[in-house]
Amino acid sequence: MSAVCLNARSISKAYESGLIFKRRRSILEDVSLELKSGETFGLVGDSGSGKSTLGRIIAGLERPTGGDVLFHGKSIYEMNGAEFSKFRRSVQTLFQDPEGSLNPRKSIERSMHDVLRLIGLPMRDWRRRTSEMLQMVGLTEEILCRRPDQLSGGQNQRAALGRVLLLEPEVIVLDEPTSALDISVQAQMLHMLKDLQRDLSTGYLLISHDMDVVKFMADRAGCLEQGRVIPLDGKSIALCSEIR
Amino acid sequence: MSLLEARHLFVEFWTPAGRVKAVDDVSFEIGKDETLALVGETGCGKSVVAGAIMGLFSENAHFKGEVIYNGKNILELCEREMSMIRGSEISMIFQNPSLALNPVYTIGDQVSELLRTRCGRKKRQALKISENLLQHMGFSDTGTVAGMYPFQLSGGMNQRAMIAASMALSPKILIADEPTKGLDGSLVRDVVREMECAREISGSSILLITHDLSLAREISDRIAIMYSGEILEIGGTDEFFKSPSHPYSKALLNSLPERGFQPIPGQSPSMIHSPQGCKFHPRCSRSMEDCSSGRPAMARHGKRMVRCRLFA
Repeated sequence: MSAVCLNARSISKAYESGLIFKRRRSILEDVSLELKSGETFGLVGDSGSGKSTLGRIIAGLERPTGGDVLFHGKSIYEMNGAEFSKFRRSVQTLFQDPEGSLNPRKSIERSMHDVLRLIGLPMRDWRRRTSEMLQMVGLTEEILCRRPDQLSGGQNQRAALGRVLLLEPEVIVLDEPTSALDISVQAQMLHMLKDLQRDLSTGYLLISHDMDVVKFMADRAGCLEQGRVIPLDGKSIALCSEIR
Repeated sequence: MSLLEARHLFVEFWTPAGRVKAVDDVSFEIGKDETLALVGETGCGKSVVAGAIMGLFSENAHFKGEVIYNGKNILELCEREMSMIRGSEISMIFQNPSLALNPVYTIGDQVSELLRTRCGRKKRQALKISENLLQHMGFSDTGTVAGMYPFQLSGGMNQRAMIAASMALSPKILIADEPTKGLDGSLVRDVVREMECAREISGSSILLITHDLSLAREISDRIAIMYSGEILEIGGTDEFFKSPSHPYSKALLNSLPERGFQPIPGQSPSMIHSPQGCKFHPRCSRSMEDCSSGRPAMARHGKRMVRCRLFA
């Protein structure tokens, strides 16, 4: 049995608004979730239920109001700078809007090279590594000189995934990765994510409101409802998918 | 009898990178009380067809062909004549309601605008009618909603307000350009319900532009499948979903969740350097030698028209 690599414990998150009269809106209350190495956990829920907020907290992009996130048993809030930086590299996020995930002023090549510079890969290896990655995500070198606005949604999402994979993450938080894509491009993307998981053993936290996508991708699934993750078995997913 | 007919419509955009053939010999007709769905992948030219019908072209656009409405080719009308048709005869719902609505005017002002400018109604009277329209679109507290600004409403509510605005003068044709894009499942159902309601009230015909096959199946009578600027298949929606004819239509249906997300190999072609012959042949599982030589013409296959050598 695979070991648990990410563990979110009793996470709560509330936002405050108003300058004088403070209003507090609770998004998550006592939410717990664990993700095993190399598995896909599907997180479903209605719009505004806090799925994306939980994903951002798990990826270390946002701090919860209460609770803890453990990466291989260690709290990410107790990590020192080097450890946290390693954690951030190991847990990456692929966002819903493919065009917004990449810097609009940079070519795809420059966006990829920024990552390679950050991980300290010698410059002479940049071209080889970029080519390998493009091949992995099904893109050609032709797109390297283009900016995100010169590519299709599917090409941008593949480029964003390639950029994430350059960091060799253990876990990718997939936040509605195909909801902005056409049905045919969505099918290509889902198959590619499955193939990559088989080859690289990357764990996925798949956030989606589409039960069909979760049914196709996930090993386990849960529904975020009123601040709690309710486990869904295969039958429940199939039933929800049919109802939809 | 057809209400609107597009005949051999071509639209090109002249860009520094080359000529983008966005619409390449597109012909179709919309009958009275009919909903025609124009379905295709993003960037295949669907919205350009809608823009052409409304006479909305960018400066670098070059077009030829005919769009016949009421016996006239509306592509030949001057801007003044065309603006009288927009809104009152042919109306459009745009794909991003939050951007399409003016952020500094209230919903009531925007829904009632056409009633004031075209029908000469007084502001108070126009607002009263627009509140009625909002009520038909499923809003309960219409007085409050009419006084709100687009940023105070959700995406789905804005979309419904835009449907109300586009139905204000009971147009004969409603063009809905991706009306449910970016909306959650429950909101999609709301918008579909309101569009059907609007159709029943005013008896408009609808040109539904979408990449969502389920939506097209739910509300359209006929369906046209578009790929890289051209229509590959057009026919009745029910027959299409039962047995699609064109290999692209079949591949598109196979990528649906209920058929296991089977991907179509390869990528959509460039509209500047399109493949020779049939544009789909590099990705087609039934491609033959002839497919790369000449462009296939539309051929009748039962009750539908198909652009493929297999049916020539």
